[in-house]
Amino acid sequence: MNDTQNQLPLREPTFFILLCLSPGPKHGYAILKNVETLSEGRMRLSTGTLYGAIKRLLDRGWIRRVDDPQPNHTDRQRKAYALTEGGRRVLNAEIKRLEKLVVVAQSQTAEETS
Amino acid sequence: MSQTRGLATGFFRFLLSFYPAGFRSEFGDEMLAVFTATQEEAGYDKASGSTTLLFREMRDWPLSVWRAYMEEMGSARMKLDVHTDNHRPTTWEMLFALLLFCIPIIANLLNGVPELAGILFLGTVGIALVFGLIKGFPRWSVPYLGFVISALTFLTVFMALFSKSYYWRIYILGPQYTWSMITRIFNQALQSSLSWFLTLVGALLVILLLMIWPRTRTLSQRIREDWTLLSFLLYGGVVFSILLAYDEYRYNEPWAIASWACLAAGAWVYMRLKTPGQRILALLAGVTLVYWITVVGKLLITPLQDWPVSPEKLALYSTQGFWSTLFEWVLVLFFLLAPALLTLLPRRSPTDSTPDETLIRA
Repeated sequence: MNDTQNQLPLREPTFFILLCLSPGPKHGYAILKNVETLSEGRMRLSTGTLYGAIKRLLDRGWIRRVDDPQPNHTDRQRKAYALTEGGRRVLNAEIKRLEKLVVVAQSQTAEETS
Repeated sequence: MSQTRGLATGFFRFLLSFYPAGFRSEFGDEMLAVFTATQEEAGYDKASGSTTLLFREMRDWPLSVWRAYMEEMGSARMKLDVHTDNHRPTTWEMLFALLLFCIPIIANLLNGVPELAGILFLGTVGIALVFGLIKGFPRWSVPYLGFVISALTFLTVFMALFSKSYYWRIYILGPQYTWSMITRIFNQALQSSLSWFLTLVGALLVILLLMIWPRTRTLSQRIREDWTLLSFLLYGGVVFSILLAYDEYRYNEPWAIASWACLAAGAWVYMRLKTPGQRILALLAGVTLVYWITVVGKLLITPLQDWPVSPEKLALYSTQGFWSTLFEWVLVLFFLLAPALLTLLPRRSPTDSTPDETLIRA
């Protein structure tokens, strides 16, 4: 638990990449588009930033390579990435941290308005 | 594929070629595939669309390339044990460590050709620093850092203290004190204290600065593991201090050579020993021998100097040299021991990481 806490807070791209892998494995392009959707168009990752982050997440054991769930036979063999148990733990811990922040912020602003 | 898309893909391939080879072989094809897919699926056939996409890539490209290199080098370096310095030094490491202390001996023997001696000295220090930097400043290379830092601080303090304002301060005390022995010894003591203090501060700043680069980041970790590494860095500064001590003295060769030989012996013993206690004793012994040789040497050679001064003034210089050198010896012992204070700082366990480090990594 402490190890997970030590990894927080996550950077926004890291958070969104882990979040978009949460439902299931995705290949690079799907991650890129999903991050854009989840962030409501605010975060448009370049391939350099995306694969830099993917490398770091692979190194940390938060994601792993799997067979592409939607193989595209017209292209070269695509690689997909899936969340590991460790990655899911970190993601959940970050979500809880953000929830706590929101609760604190809401209670604080509620006190100010009352 | 339209011409614009072909050009954009070609340019993207060019940008990819700047990534480290390992990163490229792992992700290059995927990155190109994602870039092409982005062009295709988003219908970026128009020149403006491809330009926008390329612009986004180019905006992030310098940082991602830089980070890819840093992480590749950092991970390679971090895989090395922080105790890497504790292995028995190889012949080359020992040779490089001792070279700093032996080069002044060769330079002294080449006294007739000062240009060659200077080139030899600066060339050796420069090459050792470059190799040290590439290797992440292993133990053999830290005295070179100390030498350069001390040279800069000693010269800065020397120029600052011998400025006109300094003389004005002495004149305020009264002209009778200007060249009295006590004023001269005070001057030397002040100069030495300031120089060594700034050398230590400069060394700490350089170590902090080196933390920016993953390859050299382990230097601070290794100093935390073995504080005598910082003492060894300062030990390199003694070389410059001894160069200054014999400056303008004729017939200094045997004494100067003996001094540097003792410094080299101290460094040799230091490199071979294992524990901080043994290592610091080697450095303290080396420094003690060096300064006592300098004290005795200067006492003996000062009367032989042909300076245009009276015998009384020559005797005064001799006494001043004696006390100043003794003071510097005590000062250097103090500064070599000062890094021991690092042991009082709380230690982090290897698994701990600060939020900043987490941010950098994640």
